[in-house]
This record gives sequence, C-alpha cells and structure tokens, in this order.
Amino acid sequence: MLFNDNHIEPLKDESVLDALIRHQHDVSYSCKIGHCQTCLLKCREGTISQQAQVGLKATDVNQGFFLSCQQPADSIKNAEHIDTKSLFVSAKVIGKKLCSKDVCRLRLELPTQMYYHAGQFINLKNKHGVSRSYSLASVPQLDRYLELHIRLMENGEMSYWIFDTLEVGEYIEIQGPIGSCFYTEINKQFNIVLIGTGTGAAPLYGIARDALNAAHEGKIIFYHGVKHNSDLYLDSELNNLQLINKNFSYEPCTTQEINPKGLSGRCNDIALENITNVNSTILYICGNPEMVADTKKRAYLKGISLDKIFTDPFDRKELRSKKRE
Amino acid sequence: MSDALFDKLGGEAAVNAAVDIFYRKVLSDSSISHFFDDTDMEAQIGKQKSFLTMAFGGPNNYSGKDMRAAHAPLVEKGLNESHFNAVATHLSDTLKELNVPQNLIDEVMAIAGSTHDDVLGL
Repeated sequence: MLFNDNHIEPLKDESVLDALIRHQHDVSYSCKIGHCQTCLLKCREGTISQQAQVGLKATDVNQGFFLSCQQPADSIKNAEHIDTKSLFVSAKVIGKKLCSKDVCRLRLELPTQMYYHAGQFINLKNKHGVSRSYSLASVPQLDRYLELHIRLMENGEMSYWIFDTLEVGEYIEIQGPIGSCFYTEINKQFNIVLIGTGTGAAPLYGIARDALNAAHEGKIIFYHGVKHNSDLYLDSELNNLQLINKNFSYEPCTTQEINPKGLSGRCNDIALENITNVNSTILYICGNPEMVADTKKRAYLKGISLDKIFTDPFDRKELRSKKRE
Repeated sequence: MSDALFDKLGGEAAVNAAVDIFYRKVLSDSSISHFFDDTDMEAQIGKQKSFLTMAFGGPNNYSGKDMRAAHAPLVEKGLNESHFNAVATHLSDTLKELNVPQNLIDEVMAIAGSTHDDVLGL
C-alpha cells in the first residue's frame, strides 16, 4: 500500500490505521471503532469496504473518504491524508465554566450556522493537532451557541489543554456534526428513558430539551448516574426542567454515597427495572462504553427493539493504543 | 420447493417476526451467547436475518464456502456439536412460538441442518 507516496507493508488482517500507526505515520484517530470519523483518509486507488463508510456524508463517500480504522489494508493500494481544511471550521470560545471538580462547560460560537441535532457529536482539534470527540448538549432551535461538557480525564491530552490553557475569546477547530443518537418526532406518545453516566448527561440534556421543545407527549425520564453527589453537575438545570415540564422527571443516581433527593445504585439497573411497557419506550444510553453495551443488550433482552435504542458510547483514546480485538 | 416454503412461512415478514425472538433466545443462553455477543448488535441482527432467510428457503447468497469461512474463527474458539444443537433448538422453539405447523418446521430444520458440516468446519 502507498500512503502519501510512502510504501507501507500491512500485516495480515490489519486495518489501514493500524498499519500506519505501526509505521509511525502521523495520523489522527480517536475511537478506533468506526464511530468518531477522526481517522478519515482518502482512497486514491483500491476497494473501500462497506463498513469503512458507515455514517459518512454522501459528499464524503463521493470523494473516496473512508474510516481507516475499519478498512482492511490489503484492499487499498494508494491512500492519502485529507486536506483537513475542508473538514474543520474555526469556532470561538464564548464561555467556559467549571460545573464540578472535573467537568467544565464549554460554549462555542460559529461564524455561520451549523445544522445539527442535539445529541450528535463534534470533533475538537487543538493547536497541537490533538483531536477528540465531544457530544453536543445544546439545541439548535434554542441555543445560539454549541455547548459541550468536558470531563477532565486522567492524562487526557485534550481535556487538560481545555481546562488549563484554552481561554474565552480564543478559537478552536471543529469537525461535524456526526452521529445518529438524537430525538425524532416519530413516536411522540412513547416514553423516553435517558440513561447517562458522567458527561454522558451532555447529549441527553440536549435530547431532553429538544424533545420538550418539540412538545413530546410521552414521559421523559432522565437518569444521571455518578459516583458522588458532587458529580451531579447538571443538578440545578435538570431540577429546573422538572419544575417547568409536567412530563419530565429527573432521577439522580449515586453509587458511592447516599443522595437524600435521589436514588442509590447504578443508574442503568434502576432505569431498566422501572421500564414497564417495552413496546412504547425509547431508550437513549450515553457514557461509559461498557455500561452502554451492557445496558443496550439487557434492554433488548427485556423486549425493547433495537431500533428504539439509541446510544453514544464515550470511547477513550487512552485505552485505544492497542489493537482492538 | 424452497420458494414455496418461504411463501408458506410468510416470506420476509416471517423472518422479521422470528429474528428478535430467535436472537433473544440465543443471547440469553449462556452456553452459546459468547459466540453471538457482539458490541455491534445491529450487525449481529443482520447476520441472524440472513441466516433465517436461508433456513426459511428464501432468496440468499449463502454458499457452503461462505458458511465455512464465516464460522472458522468461532470453530477456533471452540464451537462444537453441542453449540450447533443448542442454536437448532432455539430455532425450532422460535418457530413453535410463532405457531408454524410442524411439517414446515421440519423443512426449516432440514435446511438448517444441511449447514452442519460447513458451520463446524468438518
């Protein structure tokens, strides 16, 4: 395989991305499961497999873009970097606020309107070329800014940079929107159950407000799962939503200490147990990837059909340096 | 004869009715669920749909060679006769649950059974 005119010798069953990493090429990537679109490359010659274009825009497909983490290297003869100027736009930081000890709320302004659904995600790229995905907590019909909830990760290159270095008034590069975890008005009478751990609450907060704004008729129940009471960083916002919307309820769930106003235990266990009518329930699950996969499977086994389950797993690059099984 | 079976069972609608029942049975069976436990559940459902369509005598592109290649990694992980039989039982239970007449169930089981050697790499 040729990459930017350099010769690459892929191993058996290796993805294009893994081959490039092994040859120490400077390539961006984040989730490595074909989700985040950070590892997009352009194919000059070769056969792109179907799974390497899942979720791409038609315009990207037409240009021969593919997800290098999902593409077997042996069927690509020649590939190159994409001119990232065509993928990224510059956004101005207009707000940065610490919401808890390790979560900060970032608000961004774009020169032109971006068309997106609350709950989709964007990729941020900083000056050092580090790229990470963050879900949108804002709602295009309600907010003039993009809102992201950034959790400070241990050794997190991007999150530390945002917490320590990035200032209001500065600019950051963004790509997107991406993803299919968002509200649609197809089943307005259905109950919506939102299950989020940590900053998995961010896309759910957007989805909940989007659904309320669309006058959703069924109940909307928001389960936010965290370890300690002080991690419930959206407490006042979600309590407010509950106050002003009859069909919205907020269920904070803590695992490490008792919350006098909430529930004790894992939010996904509690939520699944409380689902009564599987035929009229829509589920959104966001946050820790193991929790998301486990909850999705259990919900399916409980009788909820897969097309009523939407997920946004927060995969972490720190755990992705090894090849995925 | 196969087309006739597919039509008698109710065609694609029958596959759609059966796939969730079948996949839930398989996923709930701890003796075989690890072979089907995929983080991409949508892709797994797609595979089960293709399988059921074939077993129902419907239009499919399965060749014995594909069957063999697709199951080879599972055989390496220890897929054997007992797992094959467990899946077959879930298939037959699914059809019973959907009130499919026994003579049609027998036809489906015969088609499913014909994949035995390819699935187990024999």
